Amino acid sequence: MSNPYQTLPDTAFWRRAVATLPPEAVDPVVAPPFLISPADAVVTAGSCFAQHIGPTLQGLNFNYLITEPAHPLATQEQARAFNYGVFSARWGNVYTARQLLQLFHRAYGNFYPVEDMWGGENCWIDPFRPQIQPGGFLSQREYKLDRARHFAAIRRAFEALDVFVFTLGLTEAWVSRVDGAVFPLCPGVAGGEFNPARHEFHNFTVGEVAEDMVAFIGALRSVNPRARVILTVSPVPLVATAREGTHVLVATAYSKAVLRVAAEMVTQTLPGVAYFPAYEIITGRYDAGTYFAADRRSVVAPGVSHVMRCFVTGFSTQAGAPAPPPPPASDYEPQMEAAMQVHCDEIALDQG
Amino acid sequence: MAPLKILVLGHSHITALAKAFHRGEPGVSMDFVLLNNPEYQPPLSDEGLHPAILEKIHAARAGLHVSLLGGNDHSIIGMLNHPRRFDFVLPEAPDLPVDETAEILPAGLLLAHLAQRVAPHLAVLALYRAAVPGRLVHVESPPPIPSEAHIRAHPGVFREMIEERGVSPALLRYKLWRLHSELYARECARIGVEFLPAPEAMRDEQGMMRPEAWNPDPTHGNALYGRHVIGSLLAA
Repeated sequence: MSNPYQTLPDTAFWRRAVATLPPEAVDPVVAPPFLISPADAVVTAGSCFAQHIGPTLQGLNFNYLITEPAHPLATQEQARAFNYGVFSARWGNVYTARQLLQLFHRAYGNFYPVEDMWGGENCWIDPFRPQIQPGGFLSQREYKLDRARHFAAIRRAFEALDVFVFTLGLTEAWVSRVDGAVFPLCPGVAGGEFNPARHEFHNFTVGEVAEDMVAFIGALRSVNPRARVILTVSPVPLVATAREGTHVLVATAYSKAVLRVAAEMVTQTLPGVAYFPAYEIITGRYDAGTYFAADRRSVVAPGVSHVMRCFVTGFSTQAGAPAPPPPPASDYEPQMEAAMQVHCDEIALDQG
Repeated sequence: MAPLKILVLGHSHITALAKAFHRGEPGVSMDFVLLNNPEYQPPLSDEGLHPAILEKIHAARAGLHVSLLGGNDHSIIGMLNHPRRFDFVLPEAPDLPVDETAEILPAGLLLAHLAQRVAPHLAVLALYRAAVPGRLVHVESPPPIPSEAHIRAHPGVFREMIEERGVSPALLRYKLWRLHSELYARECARIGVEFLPAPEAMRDEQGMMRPEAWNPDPTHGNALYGRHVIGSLLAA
């Protein structure tokens, strides 16, 4: 007697696709709607888990587009501390779909949040990327100049990308009661001052997340019709929930479920939008929990490697191709340093 | 009364003071420990200051200790045009012009970068502080020479690099010098060292070095500049 399951591939069966495989061989990417070629410009954004994706792509023969790169004077550590190269532009963590949508509208001059700068004295903070650089911006003018250039870098990224990878991170957010601006962190946590008259908690529903993602993709395609989108959901649990009377574990399960369903709704609704199951790879439990660190929250390197391996295998047209050589290091500073040493030594000899 | 004994420890900016002293500086006795000399290399190791430096410090029995440690790291990153031209907003004077056709870098990033560069000098300064009781003064490095013509006329080892890259705008060099000085001033405050600013009389209306103080090279002060520094030290 035949039945529909008889013709299904191995990936449809838990025993064949999960239970009997070594954990590292589990690969849930099945028939993505499009592939990424080495020429395709890839841009990433999203929650903290997404920070792993961009730099990894750079080492895997993907054309990872960075429109706000570090200056060669900065060391690798300094560039990282100032969030250069972590994402395609210095937008910091974008946790919610609404924040992403507003980022687009802010960059294109269609949304001007009332609360758009925190601080004073010697430190100014961008409410929408409060941890973008250690110590904040050291003058108001620097802040404004940097933000204008940042917005230009955002526009370049959105207009030049071929593939946008967005990791949905949270449903919980703090928003302005005045104009609905979504803050990535609650005011008062890393700048600003929490004021219940101006700030309120909001837990985005599945409908809101899906609508915001659809609106964002529509906006993106209005400036870049060829844009394809890959959605992922961060496997990293909430660090804290603001929901009253709710355990953080329960709040996490709810948020991730909402994001996962919203991502599915969007991929089912729009063409050229794929879902990449980073969330499932990390949280699938087939690995006996080894992909989380001792804090049961941070994803350890083998987990990230597994995710990226599946990404490359599933989405790249050239899986396994060697990465291009890194760009040559700037020789400006070493040359100047050597010359200055000689210069100063010569001057020092002349004591007369 | 015995003349005040001053020990000056540092790098090439010492030269301006040494020249001034050797041309006659009444009322003071000065000794110079020039760390560029091979006998003091490396100035710093896991054991602390080089023994030869410590010996000089203790043998001097100075009434006043002076540091001119480092002082050209801002020039390393900013004296010549960078292939990716940059500028920044100086936090202490945010209204100064900024070249918006260049990359605008966060001042904090440049501070972090300069801090990494000057860290070895500041480490020596801290050990100098620990090695001597009483007054220890760090002299701010000289302000930049604003004249590109002067730098091109006295390029020294930079001749080819200047031809290739060009001298960076004086204002950028000034701003980098201010960041550099801020790092030294902060550390001095932290470790109990007096920070002596560059002599006002040797600075022009923009805060850069006056022509009469220019040594015939791109970055140093001359004997007149040194004389004013010594005057400031004695007046302080």
